[in-house]
Amino acid sequence: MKDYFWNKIPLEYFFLVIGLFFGMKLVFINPPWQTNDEDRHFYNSWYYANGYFKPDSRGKKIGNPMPTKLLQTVQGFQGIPFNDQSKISKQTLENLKEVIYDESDTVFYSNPNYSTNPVGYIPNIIGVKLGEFYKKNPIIVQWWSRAFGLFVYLIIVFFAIRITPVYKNVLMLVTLAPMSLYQAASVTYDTLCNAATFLIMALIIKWLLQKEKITTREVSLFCLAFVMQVFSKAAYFFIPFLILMIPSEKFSFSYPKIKFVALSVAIIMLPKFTWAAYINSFHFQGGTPFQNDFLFNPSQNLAFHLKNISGMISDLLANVLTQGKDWITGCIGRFGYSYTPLPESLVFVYVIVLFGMASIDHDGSVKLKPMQRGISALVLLVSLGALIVGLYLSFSPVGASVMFGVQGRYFIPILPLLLFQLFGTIPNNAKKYLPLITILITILILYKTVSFIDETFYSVN
Amino acid sequence: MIIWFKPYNVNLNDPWFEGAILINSARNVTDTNQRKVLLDKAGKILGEQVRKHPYHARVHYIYGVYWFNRQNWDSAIFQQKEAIRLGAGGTVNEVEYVAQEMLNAALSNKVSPLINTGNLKEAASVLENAKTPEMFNKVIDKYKGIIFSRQGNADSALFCYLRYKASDPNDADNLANIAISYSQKNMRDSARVYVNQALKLDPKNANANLINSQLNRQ
Repeated sequence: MKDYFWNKIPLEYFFLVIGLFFGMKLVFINPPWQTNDEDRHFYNSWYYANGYFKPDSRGKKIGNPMPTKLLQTVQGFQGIPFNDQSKISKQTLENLKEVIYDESDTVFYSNPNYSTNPVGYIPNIIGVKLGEFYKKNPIIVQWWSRAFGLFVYLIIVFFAIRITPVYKNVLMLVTLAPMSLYQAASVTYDTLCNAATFLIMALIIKWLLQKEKITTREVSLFCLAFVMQVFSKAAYFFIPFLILMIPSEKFSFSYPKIKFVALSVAIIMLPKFTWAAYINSFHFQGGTPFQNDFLFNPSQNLAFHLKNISGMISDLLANVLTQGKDWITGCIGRFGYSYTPLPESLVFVYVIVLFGMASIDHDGSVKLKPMQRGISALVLLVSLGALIVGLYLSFSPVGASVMFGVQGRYFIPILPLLLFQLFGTIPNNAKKYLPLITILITILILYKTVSFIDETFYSVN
Repeated sequence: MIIWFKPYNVNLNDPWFEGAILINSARNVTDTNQRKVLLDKAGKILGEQVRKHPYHARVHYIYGVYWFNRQNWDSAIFQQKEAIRLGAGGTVNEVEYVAQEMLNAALSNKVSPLINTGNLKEAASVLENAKTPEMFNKVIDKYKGIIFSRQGNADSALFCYLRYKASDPNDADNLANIAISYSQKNMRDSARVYVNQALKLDPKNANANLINSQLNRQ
């Protein structure tokens, strides 16, 4: 099979080169603080990088001091509508690269996200610190922060693709999908969460197919990825339960599944009993609400909908039908704070490629048992259901029928599991061409993405 | 494929936005009967939504817009006050600024005729009732200043006008009002400073031109 050059070099190296090239392009071409919530993630990263682990309260405000010039520069990039009349000038960026912020001139920033734990920001925090050593300029520090998030993402996913014996092409197509790479090249905790979830998925596939016993070292790595995932974003904690697909006798140690379930629950609760407990110990009153024009309260919302469960189910289905296409688009490529989607045709083709590849990227010798397929489908349904219902209850106003604020990018960590349902469904006699197809399609879509972002967000002058 | 091509005609909207759409449609029709029908429908929906969801600032705001379109200024002011009370202070999708704008429009429509017909006590009571502790409203100062001025209380009027000026230094009407108050106090030099500022911003301002000619005659 290894007749062609793309088969001689392992796919993960192609992933690394393509990811690094286009990822770094996105770091610089994506206008400053234009990824969803990137401004607020950057504030948190800056705070932690500068030792502000304890929020302070001043009157009703909860937050910490921040250099005035830093805050002003970030805020200057918010709320740009991005149309033909309103774009960012590259010359303005050049001019802003001369701004130096000074820690002695600060303002108290009331931080609506003061309770977010620092674990998900670790790569971005390192980037901020190193960027500040280089130059205390808001834009340059933000680039360093983005770049470090990207490096960590690429390294983790590199190992994920390396360790999975099959499904490498699917994993590469998912992890280098425009939105996945765009997120990775931004300041956000999604980077670490997505990478950790992909690693978990890769470990499960490896264990499913390997003949050797699973070592405690491998399980420790799995638990570490699980911890990283729940600390970064506690929304995908059902995915690690895929481990229940692995027969107990495959482990090199005694493995009662009930003990794993107990361990998983403990890991899921870790952020609550560590960082959240630390923040709660300050008994802060007040704080700036993020959105206040509607009441957002998950328990009140649940109580409201429980009065009419059939209505809630019908609303949820109607939301999937009315917003589903936007979610798919958002999962593949929707950029900027102004939610600018990639052209529909590109997204559609990429979705077809993903599903096609998921059906044919397999080793014909491996067959999943019905029980394993059942567990995988169950974990997928529970993960999707929990995510959609969770967003419906927490991101939508009390009593609303229409779901608010659901973005396709939230489905990225679940995408490999969704595609895994197609594993081994179509026989494939041309496996040697799959890496070439993957490499070419990835390069093509990322090339189009970079051009699209450049044309959309920047003015000619 | 079902999600992508949407073969089913599913229409999902929250009633409060249906109400907002009806108000918008009512504004765009010229036939007064049709306008009334649309507004009636909106009012029915929004009244029910406000009772069902008294905690949503945005719903109060939309209901306030409905009352404004019905020219019921008291109800419009009440609903916008509720929108500000519940919704002030958010980071995104702020409702309080648009609610205050709508409150001030209703307030102006309510208070101006009262002031012009000499019902100063009632006008002052409306202003007092329109105050929002969650958010400073400079327009209330402006109208209170006018009432004090009409009552001959130039000191209190000046206090209100100058506080308003701190929030909006480029309102020519207010600068002319300050000039009038200084003139009432016989402080002609100060009056002239403000009348000049007002005329610089708005050379055709009626009050500024009036007080200017009075100052020139004296």
